[in-house]
Amino acid sequence: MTAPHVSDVAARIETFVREHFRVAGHDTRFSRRAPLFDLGYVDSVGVIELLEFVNEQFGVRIPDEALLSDEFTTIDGMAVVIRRLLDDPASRSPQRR
Amino acid sequence: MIDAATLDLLRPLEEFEEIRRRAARLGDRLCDLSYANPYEGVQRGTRDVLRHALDAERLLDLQYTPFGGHTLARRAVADDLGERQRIPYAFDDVVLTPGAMAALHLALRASATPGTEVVIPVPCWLDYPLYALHLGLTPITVPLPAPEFLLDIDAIEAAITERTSAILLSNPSNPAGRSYSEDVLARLSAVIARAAHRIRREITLISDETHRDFTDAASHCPGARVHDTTLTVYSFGKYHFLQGQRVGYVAVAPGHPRRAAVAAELVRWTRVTGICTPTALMQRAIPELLALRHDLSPIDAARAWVSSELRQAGYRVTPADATLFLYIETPGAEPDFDFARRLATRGVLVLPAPVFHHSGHFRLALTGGRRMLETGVRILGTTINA
Repeated sequence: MTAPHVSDVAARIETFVREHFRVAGHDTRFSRRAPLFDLGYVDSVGVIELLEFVNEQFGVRIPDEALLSDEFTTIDGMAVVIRRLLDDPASRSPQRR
Repeated sequence: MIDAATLDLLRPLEEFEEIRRRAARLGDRLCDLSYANPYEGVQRGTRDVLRHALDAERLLDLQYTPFGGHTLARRAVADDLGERQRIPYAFDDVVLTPGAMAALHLALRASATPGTEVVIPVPCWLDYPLYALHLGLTPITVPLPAPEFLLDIDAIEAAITERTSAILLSNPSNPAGRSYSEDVLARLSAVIARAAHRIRREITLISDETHRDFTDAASHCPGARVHDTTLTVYSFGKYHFLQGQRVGYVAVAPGHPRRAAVAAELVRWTRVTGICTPTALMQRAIPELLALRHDLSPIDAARAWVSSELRQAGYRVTPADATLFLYIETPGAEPDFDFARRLATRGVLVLPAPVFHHSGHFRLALTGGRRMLETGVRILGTTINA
């Protein structure tokens, strides 16, 4: 199966974040480049929910260093990290290998 | 120990409580028009929101939340404020509190240092001066001119001294039930800005907007829209009749010159004072409470009907356009507590003006329901000439 394009990954994360964390339709500060944690779009429990979603959708486990990186704070950055991991069989979750 | 000045401020309400306790023996024959208690019950939609907040399980959902409140609930409030005030708020401009009382404490803490003064137009909500005094501030009350009880900008300006730290008011005003126009608030803002420049001290407008929902949204002008150095106080209790659930907030205006510092200080005060946050469950209910709309036509109809009936009976009623109250002149120059006591023996409870740091009036709540209001108005009609 072909791995999704990075923009498809970003679109799926964006849909999840908008719905799950109740982002208002008129919110002009929200974008795929918005820092999700600093602006209060995702809280600490939300990180757990977001990682569960990522695992279910893409079958990857995000390593600790990626979670703590500046890259993994925006939807675009998350999409790049996930897309990179999809190319690395070692990053696949056990059930998806 | 409580000092004498604080006891003086407590006395009117404690005197009223004696009247209330005695009158409560009348059971369901009592027309309790003193506080905004909804005797016809809480709206079904409100109960549904609370039920849903409990049922929608989430990891750690009933545990501690951060000081300042649950991030997602704060953001929901920020989004709502942004839409109402047409100013973009960030989640950390908002600090969730256990009701407006706690929010007022934090707002005063963050805007005034002990030894300074807070200017308070009166009649005002009963505990503004009490809180100021408790925090080491001097409450400077400024009487508003009857019978309109609109903001007297010149009087407020005259009350500002070199020690003024804040102007504290409710908008719409409780107990008088008046909304302040954008023009009036803009004049107040200009006066505050001029005074702050003159005394070289920040003067904060603390705008208690707990009753904002009981007026035409188009006519309500939030303080933060016209004045940058503003802290907005709100409680969800009034609109949803959830007063006992204690959930509200204080928000820093995005234009505040020390926006981030004040927001951070408010959070610190929640910890220092032990005020903390609303319960986890109520915080979870906030996004849905913000979206919930109630039919307010019964309140509007009650305001119009009671005003009309009491005027026909000979009372002078302040022309209210908001809140859940009417503010009425005590007839015949009778001392306010004597009148309230006499009315209570006839089965009607109202709050006399000294509770609001004022005199010559009483406040009547419109939430008693049709039967209570009809009976109360009838008894008030027979009491004016008795």
